[in-house]
Amino acid sequence: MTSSKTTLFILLVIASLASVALALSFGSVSNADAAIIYQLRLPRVLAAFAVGGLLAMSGSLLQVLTRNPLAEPSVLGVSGGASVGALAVLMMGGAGTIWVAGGAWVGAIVVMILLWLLVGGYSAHPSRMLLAGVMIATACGAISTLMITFASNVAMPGMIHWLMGDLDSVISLEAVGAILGVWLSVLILVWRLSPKIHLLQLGTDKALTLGIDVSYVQWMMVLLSALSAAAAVSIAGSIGFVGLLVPHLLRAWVVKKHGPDQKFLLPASALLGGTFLVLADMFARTVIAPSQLPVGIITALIGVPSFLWILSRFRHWNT
Amino acid sequence: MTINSAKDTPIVLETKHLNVHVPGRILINDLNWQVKKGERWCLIGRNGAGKSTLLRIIAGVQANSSAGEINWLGQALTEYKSEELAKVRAYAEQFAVGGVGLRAIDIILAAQWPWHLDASSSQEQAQAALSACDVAHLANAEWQILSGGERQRVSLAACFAQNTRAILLDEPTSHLDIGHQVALLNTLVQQSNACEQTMIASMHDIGLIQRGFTHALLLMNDGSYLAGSLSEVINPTNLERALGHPISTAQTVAGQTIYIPA
Repeated sequence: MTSSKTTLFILLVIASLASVALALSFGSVSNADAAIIYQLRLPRVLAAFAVGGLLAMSGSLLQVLTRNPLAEPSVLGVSGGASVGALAVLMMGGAGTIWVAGGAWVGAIVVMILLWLLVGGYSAHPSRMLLAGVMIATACGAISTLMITFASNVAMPGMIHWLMGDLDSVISLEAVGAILGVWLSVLILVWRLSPKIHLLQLGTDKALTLGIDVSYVQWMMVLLSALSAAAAVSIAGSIGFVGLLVPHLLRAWVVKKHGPDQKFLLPASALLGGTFLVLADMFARTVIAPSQLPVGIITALIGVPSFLWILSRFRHWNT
Repeated sequence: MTINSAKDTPIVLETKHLNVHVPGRILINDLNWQVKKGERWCLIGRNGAGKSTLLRIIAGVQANSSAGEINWLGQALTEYKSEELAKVRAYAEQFAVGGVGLRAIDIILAAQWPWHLDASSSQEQAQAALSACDVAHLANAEWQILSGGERQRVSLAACFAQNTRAILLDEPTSHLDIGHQVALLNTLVQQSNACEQTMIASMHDIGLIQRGFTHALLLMNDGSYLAGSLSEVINPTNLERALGHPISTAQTVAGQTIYIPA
């Protein structure tokens, strides 16, 4: 990383810390005591940070993997697959966080493999990938609803509560620790792989001739993007568009000067994604206090116009 | 079938008993082919004759399903570590791709990956490669907005930047205007003379063969082939066999022989 990129990165770290500090001090209770801050706000803010960072990393990875500027876990149905996987575990009576998260990961990977089989590889024409993803996401939504309809009376409340998910449910410290652990592990793995991921932007054949073990890197990207989306979904339900918005903001910021340097963009999206979701969640819980908005509504309200804006910007896009 | 004009010139690429097939069809049968240092080969044949498939197989991008051998610098292709092979040959696809936001300069810098250069010499060599291919002014342009011909020139610059012994090009001139076609071939000649690089390029425009190539591999429709220096293999009869259309010759005012469809 050159020095100016290092400066940008330090700015992002400062922004992350500032957003966490800001979110801790804002809430429906104006002069909150230590108990509210440490037992309610801190777990929620930290969870929001990890979830946002994971979603943004998942989106960045998927955009490189599919060479598609509109790829994102909720758009391609990866988050939907994670929801189905997690609901299946809940329906069978599984309750532990680990089991639900594991089910979500399996669901997300199944969707990634389905996409690969349906469109014939991840570098298929962008619009085919997108259409297949939208269809899979729709199917996952239907299956989720179906599973809740047929769930036992014992399992149903838990499933509905989880599906409404978002960040307002009380999050245990263990869950916060786990999600931060996943965030850090994915960040480290992605950072180490990022020079090779960067070269994959030249297409698989070119990357092969440069000596990159393309299938290994691609499979790591599939596993890590699915893991990130699944971990985010198991804590917060399906929150859309963070994975689309954050990588595009970062690219718009650095691409003129540095190009789409994945050695910078991937770790940076882990920080900016976290900052973004912490601020969005702060807004969601304070804007109509004492009631709360689901944070997914905030990200969708910002995300849908951004999606359309990106779509129009890339209207000349072809592979 | 290859004539050893200079017996002591090292062999860069050699194939032995190589069969090239696609499902249900043999494209090239029993190819025994030697390419030596500094030679510039053009591959000629009809659509579907196996030019691209052959290039992909010798580049190691596509697995070779036949029992034939491919040796680069005397070592079997399959025994190379991919990082080492990346220093031996560069390959430009027919339709190169670029990811979201990628600029021409990013593609050139990425092509230097096998050598782990420091930042300043990396930039210096990248600029030289861009200038050699007349795309220095496009360094910061996004790949997605480049024209087909500009992309081909950037792809060639990336092959130069990879700094290999041999460069494999799949129809490098198909999208170029006439001026840039000639300029590109001149650049190939300069580069191969200056750096003793070996070039292998598939070509459709037979009018360009005499402008810089030294050897030709003609792929026939029945799976046979002819390989040799231009004076040995390029004549109207052989070209007609390879291309399936009568070919005549013409002389330019400068006395140069050119081949044109009859």
